[in-house]
Amino acid sequence: MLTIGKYVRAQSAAEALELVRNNRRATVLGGGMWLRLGTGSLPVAIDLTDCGLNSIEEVPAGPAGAAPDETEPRATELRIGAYVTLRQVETNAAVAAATNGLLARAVRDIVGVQFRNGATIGGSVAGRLGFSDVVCALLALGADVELEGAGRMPLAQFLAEKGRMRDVLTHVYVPVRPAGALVAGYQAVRRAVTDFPVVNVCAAHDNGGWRVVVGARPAKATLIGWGSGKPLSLSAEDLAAAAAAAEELAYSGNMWGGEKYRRQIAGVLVRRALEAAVASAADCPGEEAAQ
Amino acid sequence: MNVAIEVNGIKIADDIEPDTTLFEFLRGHGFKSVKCGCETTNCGLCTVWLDEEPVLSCATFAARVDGRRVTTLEGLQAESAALARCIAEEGAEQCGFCAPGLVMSVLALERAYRAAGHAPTPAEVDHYLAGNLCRCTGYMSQRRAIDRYLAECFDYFTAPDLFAPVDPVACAADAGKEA
Repeated sequence: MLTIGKYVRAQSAAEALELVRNNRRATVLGGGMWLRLGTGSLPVAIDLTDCGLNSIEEVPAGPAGAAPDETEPRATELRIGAYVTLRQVETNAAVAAATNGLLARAVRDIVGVQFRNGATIGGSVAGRLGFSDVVCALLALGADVELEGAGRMPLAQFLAEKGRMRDVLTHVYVPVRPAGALVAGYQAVRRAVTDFPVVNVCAAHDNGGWRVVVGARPAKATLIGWGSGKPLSLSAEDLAAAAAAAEELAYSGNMWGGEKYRRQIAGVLVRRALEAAVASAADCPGEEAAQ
Repeated sequence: MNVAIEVNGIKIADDIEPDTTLFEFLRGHGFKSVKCGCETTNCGLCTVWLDEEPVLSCATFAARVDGRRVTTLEGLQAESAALARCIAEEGAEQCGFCAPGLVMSVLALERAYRAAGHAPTPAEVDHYLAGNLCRCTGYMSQRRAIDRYLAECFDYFTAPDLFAPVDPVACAADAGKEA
């Protein structure tokens, strides 16, 4: 069992940052859902409950709000506080509208309602956990993160950083697309409905083309080298190329699955995620035409 | 550190260790309905309500809950009576250890759908309750009890034959067709 020396409820993100910067062993808490599985000690645990980071707002897109492959800048984006729970993400109407239901689909099998009422989006992202369904979907959406200290950056850049975080994650930004402009598919293999995913895949199409992400390799989620600038409609060759690109990523084994198994499943899930996304667009022909 | 948590309408102030979980806090103050079943944050047995939303008390620090409202099964005796009766009528309990957490989740589900103004579908019930594990019943008896309860709460019956006794002869005939 993990032990905590001192529990601090910071009154602002700036106060939390000061604590982190002044004490190498101070740690910011997320939902804390997996902490009980750990051992050792946290000399200082910082709780952000009182920092006003538990709401979801639609805000005008800032100058930083453009992914490198975005051809049409987003007009607005969702600013999701780090302490927004996964259950809020799952049930929030604005999130559902902006992501075409993708985030709700990605988080719905994470343990149970009572777990998702405790787990936070900030904890999921800051933990950079390989199995994360949240990170997999956010990466496909072209999300950004905002840190007290380091400022705003694309999620992909944040995930690539190594070592201990010296900043405090405060917000996640998700682009708001006009209805029908984003189509997405999510696929995961789980040994039991509420277990960790063995492999998870998210495919999303917007005006920049396809972004296809494979997570739980079991290393952290990463974009495959296929899809930028590709149109929504896909040929058999496109599907084969996407699956092959997924199989080229690095995989390894753990208690949920071996390397070869993961590699093979990833290719299949990429195809299915792409096909599901295209089929969901075909269900609303008017919206597809609007693209 | 000092915390004050309102449990079932009564404010409880205590000086706790910084790493005390809400589960330990509640058990320590006599709320013995709250159980820990898995030690891996996924069985749902320790489910309580935090401001009326179900949470895993085993994975929630008491320090985070300081100043907030918690509800355990002890605080829902009247509200849980009809569900308890349905569970008994279906003979759903075996060891009963997981029952308090399950009851907290079913009552939270009922409140959520009452607020939404419609009945849940059976698939929505399965989804809402997926985080409550049981290691003896195989879930079928519990699920019948929950269906029976929800049918009392809502216009829930979309399939009136749900409780019809299974005809073993018809079953065997169906199995033969598939083979």
